[in-house]
Amino acid sequence: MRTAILGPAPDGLPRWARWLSALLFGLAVLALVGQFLVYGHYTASLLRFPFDYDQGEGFELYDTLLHTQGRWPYQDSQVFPFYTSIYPPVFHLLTAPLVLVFGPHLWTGRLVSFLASLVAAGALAWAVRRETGQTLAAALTGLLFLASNYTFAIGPLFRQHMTMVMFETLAIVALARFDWRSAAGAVQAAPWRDRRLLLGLAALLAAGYSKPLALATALAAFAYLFLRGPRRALAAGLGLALVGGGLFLWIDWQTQGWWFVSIIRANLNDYDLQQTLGFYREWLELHGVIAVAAFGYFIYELYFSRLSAYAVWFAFAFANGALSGKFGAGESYFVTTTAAACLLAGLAVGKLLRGSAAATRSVWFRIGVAVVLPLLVLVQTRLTLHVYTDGPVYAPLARLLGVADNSGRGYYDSQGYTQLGPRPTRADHEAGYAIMARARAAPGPVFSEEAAFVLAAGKPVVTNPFVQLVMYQAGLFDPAEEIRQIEARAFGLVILRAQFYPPPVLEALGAHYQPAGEIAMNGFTYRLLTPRP
Amino acid sequence: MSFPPDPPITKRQLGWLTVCAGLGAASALLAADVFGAGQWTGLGPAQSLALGAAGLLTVLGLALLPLGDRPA
Repeated sequence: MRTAILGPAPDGLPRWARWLSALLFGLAVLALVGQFLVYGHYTASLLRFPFDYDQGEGFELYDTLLHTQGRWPYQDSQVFPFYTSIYPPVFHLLTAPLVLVFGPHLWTGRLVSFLASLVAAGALAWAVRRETGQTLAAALTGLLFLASNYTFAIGPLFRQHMTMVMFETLAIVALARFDWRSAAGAVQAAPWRDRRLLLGLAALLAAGYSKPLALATALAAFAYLFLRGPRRALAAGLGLALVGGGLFLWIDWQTQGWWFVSIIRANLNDYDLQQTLGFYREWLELHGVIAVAAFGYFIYELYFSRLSAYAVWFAFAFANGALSGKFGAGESYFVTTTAAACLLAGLAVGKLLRGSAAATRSVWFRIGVAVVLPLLVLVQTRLTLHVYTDGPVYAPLARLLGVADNSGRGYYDSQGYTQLGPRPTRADHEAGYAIMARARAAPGPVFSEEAAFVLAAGKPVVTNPFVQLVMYQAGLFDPAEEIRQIEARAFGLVILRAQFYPPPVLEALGAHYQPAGEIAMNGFTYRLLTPRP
Repeated sequence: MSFPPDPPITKRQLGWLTVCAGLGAASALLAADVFGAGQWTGLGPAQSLALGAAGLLTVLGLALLPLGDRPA
């Protein structure tokens, strides 16, 4: 049993320590597997829910639908249907085959995103297994990543972020074993044919074209390659820049310049330092054990060993969290940091387990490693604890864990109140269908803040509110034509949730449309408006 | 494509690069303050934090210098 659980580490351990260690590691794995089951339950509940759960999902579905029709979603949003997208296409293209076969349903992209989180976790675990030979450390790494509140919350959403994290992880894991030199120190004659380099660069390109936030990982990868051979790294960077830049120019040409406006200019938003600091503080509080282990391992490699691609990645990813102060940014900006930190923490655990097996180590050092490590994993699991609090299984479990609902919707999350995490209820399903029925019955197009209602109702998607708002703030969106159509009462129904529209658009809606009911769904109040007589 | 010898970066070289990055960032921040960028009189909160990060980077780099020619 000890060999199965701890590998070579506990040789020479007293019997009691061996059993205690096995018990604690068993508990830690059990706790993390339990968290994974909650993740699976949450995912299953979202796959069944046909409407927007996180605002913006429906618009990403619409982007995907446009791709299946051979149309770009990057267009002039100042004319009907007042729509453009600010996200690159890779995630939508990955989801497109499912939409082609099954139609425009939100479960398609949610499934792709969930699978991406599993691939990322698997790649992290595989890397730790490869570097340390420790299966336990590898399993803990993958499970800790999936147990993060942030991975949990956004993993099964129809959003491009987790696909980006997956490609970032694959890129770093591929490049980590690449060197311009062979193990014997000889320079490779044709490194450009090395599969690890090619896979790594391809994954970087895919990550960047999933979401531009992956730029930090690209910089980390080239910083690593630079450390190993600066001239060749600059040549490789130039090559990737040419390919990536060429693709960029081609899409821009295809979209008459709207790609550049939508992807670059519309993403340069206002910055709030306090928001950034708040996200850093929250990430450190929730991932305290992982963070300390990752920083410790980074310092170890920096001063006592050789910097790996993993350590460089962690440094860049952590620094990249500074962008989370942008208007519209969120906790998702720290998922890459979490992945990199879990990887370094896993390497640290693996190294400690191997190191404690050395014959020169004292028995107390071995006991310390064998007992303290699983305890730290348990502490970390408690820090990121999130669990449902109602039902025949969850209610007793929540009582056992000493937690209670803090979302108002039968869900506890250690980060406090959060919109993402609770499962949609039967009432939420009914509310969604009620709104969709109103949209279907309305004459003409429907002006909806969420796209899933109108897609399900068979109506055209009109406007993309948040995008309009940020483009309006940046001086890139003139709402004159949209307001003219609102004044003409061209829309049979208006559906509002967060009212993320430019102020003049909201004023026009208030002046020319009147309240026609409110429906609660997923903790939000949806306001329906019809044309004033 | 043929490349001249391209040895890996050493700890000392990485140290100098890091020191230069830290000092460069600090200089840029102070220059921005002198030329009146930003909305604050004197160093604003964001500038102060960034200056702290630049200082930390410089210290990390200085600590690498004694490690010599070991590969970084």
